[in-house]
Amino acid sequence: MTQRLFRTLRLVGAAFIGFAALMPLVDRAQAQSQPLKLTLDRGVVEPLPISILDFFGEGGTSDPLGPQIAQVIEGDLASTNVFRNVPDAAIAPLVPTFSAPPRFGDVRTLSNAAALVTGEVGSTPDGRFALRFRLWDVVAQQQIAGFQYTGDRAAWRRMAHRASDAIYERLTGEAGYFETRIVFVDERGPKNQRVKRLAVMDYDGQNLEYLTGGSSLVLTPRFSPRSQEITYISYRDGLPRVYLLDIESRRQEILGRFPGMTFAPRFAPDGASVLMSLARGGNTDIYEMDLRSRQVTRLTSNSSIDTAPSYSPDGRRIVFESDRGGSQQLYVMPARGGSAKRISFGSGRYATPVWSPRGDLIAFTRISGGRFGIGVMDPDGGGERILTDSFLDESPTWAPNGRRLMFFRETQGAQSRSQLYSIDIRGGKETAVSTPGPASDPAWGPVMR
Amino acid sequence: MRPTFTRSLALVAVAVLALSGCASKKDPTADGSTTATGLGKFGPSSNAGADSGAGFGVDGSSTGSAAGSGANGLGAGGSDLLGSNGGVGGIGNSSLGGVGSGGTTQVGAGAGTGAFADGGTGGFVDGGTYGSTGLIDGGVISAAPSGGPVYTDTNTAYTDPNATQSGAYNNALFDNNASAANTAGGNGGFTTYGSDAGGNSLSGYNFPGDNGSASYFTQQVGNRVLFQTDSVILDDNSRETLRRQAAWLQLHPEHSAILEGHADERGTREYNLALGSGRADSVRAYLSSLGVSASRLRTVSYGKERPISLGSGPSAWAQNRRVETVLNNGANF
Repeated sequence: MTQRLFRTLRLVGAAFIGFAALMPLVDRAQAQSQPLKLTLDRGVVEPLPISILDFFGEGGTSDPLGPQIAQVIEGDLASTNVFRNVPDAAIAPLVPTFSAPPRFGDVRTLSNAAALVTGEVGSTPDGRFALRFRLWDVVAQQQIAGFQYTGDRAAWRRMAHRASDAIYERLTGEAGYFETRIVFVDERGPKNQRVKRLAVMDYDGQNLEYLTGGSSLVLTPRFSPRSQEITYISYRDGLPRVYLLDIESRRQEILGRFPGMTFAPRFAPDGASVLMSLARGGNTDIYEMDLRSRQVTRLTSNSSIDTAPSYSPDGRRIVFESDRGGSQQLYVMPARGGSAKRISFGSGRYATPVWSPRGDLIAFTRISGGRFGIGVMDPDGGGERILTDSFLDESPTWAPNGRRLMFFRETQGAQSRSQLYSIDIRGGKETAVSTPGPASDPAWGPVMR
Repeated sequence: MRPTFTRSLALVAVAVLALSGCASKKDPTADGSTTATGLGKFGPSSNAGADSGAGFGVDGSSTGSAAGSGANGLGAGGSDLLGSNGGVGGIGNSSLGGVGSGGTTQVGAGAGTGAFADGGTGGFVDGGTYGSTGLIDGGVISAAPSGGPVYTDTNTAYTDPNATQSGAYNNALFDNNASAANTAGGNGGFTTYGSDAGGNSLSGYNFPGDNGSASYFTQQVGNRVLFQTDSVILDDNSRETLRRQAAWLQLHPEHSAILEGHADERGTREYNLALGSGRADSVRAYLSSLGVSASRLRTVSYGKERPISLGSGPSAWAQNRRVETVLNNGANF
């Protein structure tokens, strides 16, 4: 009972402070009834060994989706670097059916899996497809979660992601983010003639679709935090303008008829308005447009570049970049405009700030010594940590749970190529995100529920 | 005894409540039928002792009352009156713990408005709308399933309550008398110039062999001016080129021009769009001051999207920090 897998849950973040304070070290030896729980502390986490068994078919038969569902869940969990998949070959014989509990003693002898997932696909009495699973604590020999999802068989992948979310949430105490989509810019062609198309895919690269055809240059798509809508810029009218696009209906519209070019859009947390930059007369300032009334409010008025605005999740403040002090730096101002306070004071310049959906951090791009890196800092500018470094890393976007960032990296030279990456903000190494071709400007969408 | 862990969970965010529910497995009481009520997005799916399920409606108020039945726990997920997500059934705690059934769902495949969310109650609904519509771009926009306006150009009047600037400060860009107070780094201020030998006079420019073509303009007049890093300021060379452009444009009123601002790859996308816009506007302002009608000039920024030199080094970057004057057929816009 001295498994090293069960550690302190010391979550960094306001929402969990109470939790952390009341939950000091959990030692399975002294509190055997304590549920299996994983430490997600800053820094490197020792991954929890978990085994996902191929799902059974109805009534113990085999179903072609069984192994595929297990594979999706394995992929989801392993991508977090918080879990480590344990092959199920040795364990599978110890779980004869979905209904019977595993032979835990043998499971512990034959593998080091601390958690086990068993499941089945079947149908409901009225004929709908059903995905069921149970999450087992191998040490405590208990079921600690079990869910059934029903619907159309074609949606099995969504259900599998949802199962992953449930497992992740149960074991880490943090919201999952596997049932999400990414919108990004697909890049083709040579560096001086890039064809850029908007594309959307599941967070793991599946179900890719193109949203634009490539005849107009498109840049910087941003997801609504509340819906399957995006805002982006397109050169469709010859100059950059901010557009709004509903992914489901494919309905799109231009946002406003401004005298100059508009760019750098980003939704408010409630999805009801969009911030953007307007360049006019050589000057760039930040404006807000209410999506219902279409009323426009100017938020900055400064003879400098004010751009890349992002709301705090409570909608009260805006972080943006400005070179008003001589170089690109980050500033925070009230949501209605007003005096702005500089928060970035490290070496180099700072750009593309994005407020975490948890509110506790601001992600940014830092340019220093000819290198670009993605970093995070507290909203008051403290606690800066640079997470990545390359010739060009840019454009961070938050997973909905505020624990992971995606960004793009572009290599140098005439054959430069862009690629999406994601990284856990608590540490670890960035991992490449699979896309059909070069990709940039990722935006992580909300959990689809 | 319930673990302190479970109690503490009740104090934290709603998102954690689901865990609390799942975790309260040691409560031996509710054997038989129990009813739990949904608690927002992740209501507890209590597997207490037996079997009660709880719906979890998106709206918090949901309903999810769920009845358990029997020691082996077959709690039914509540059906959610408000829509998405329906109930997730309770989990029995016996060794053969039952799996609660998710709530029922009312939206069928391909039902229009939208994919998986917010349809009926219950698990997952294949909305069937993914990929069924075509691409959108260049004016070809697929029909929206529900009809209605597809592309809306709002003509809402643009109002700028705080408008104070009319671009007058741009004079500093080519004003020999610009005050030192305007000097600041970046794009914010404008460094003053040395003596502008050419002044505003356009006399003395000759264009031998001029055939009025775009290629003549590009090759013989010069269609490109370069900038320092982060700068929107026109240097002596640039101003000389622009005087030639202005003189040529005066001779060819049949042309108007698009001023394309560009930046090198060593900046972020948004900043470079702004910087390119500032550069294009510097050129616009200078050409205007030389008498080229504003109606003949239009600016656009491509940021770092359209480099002409593809390498990644100082000489390539210097070539890419530019404004290109692109002739447009037609006397004005």
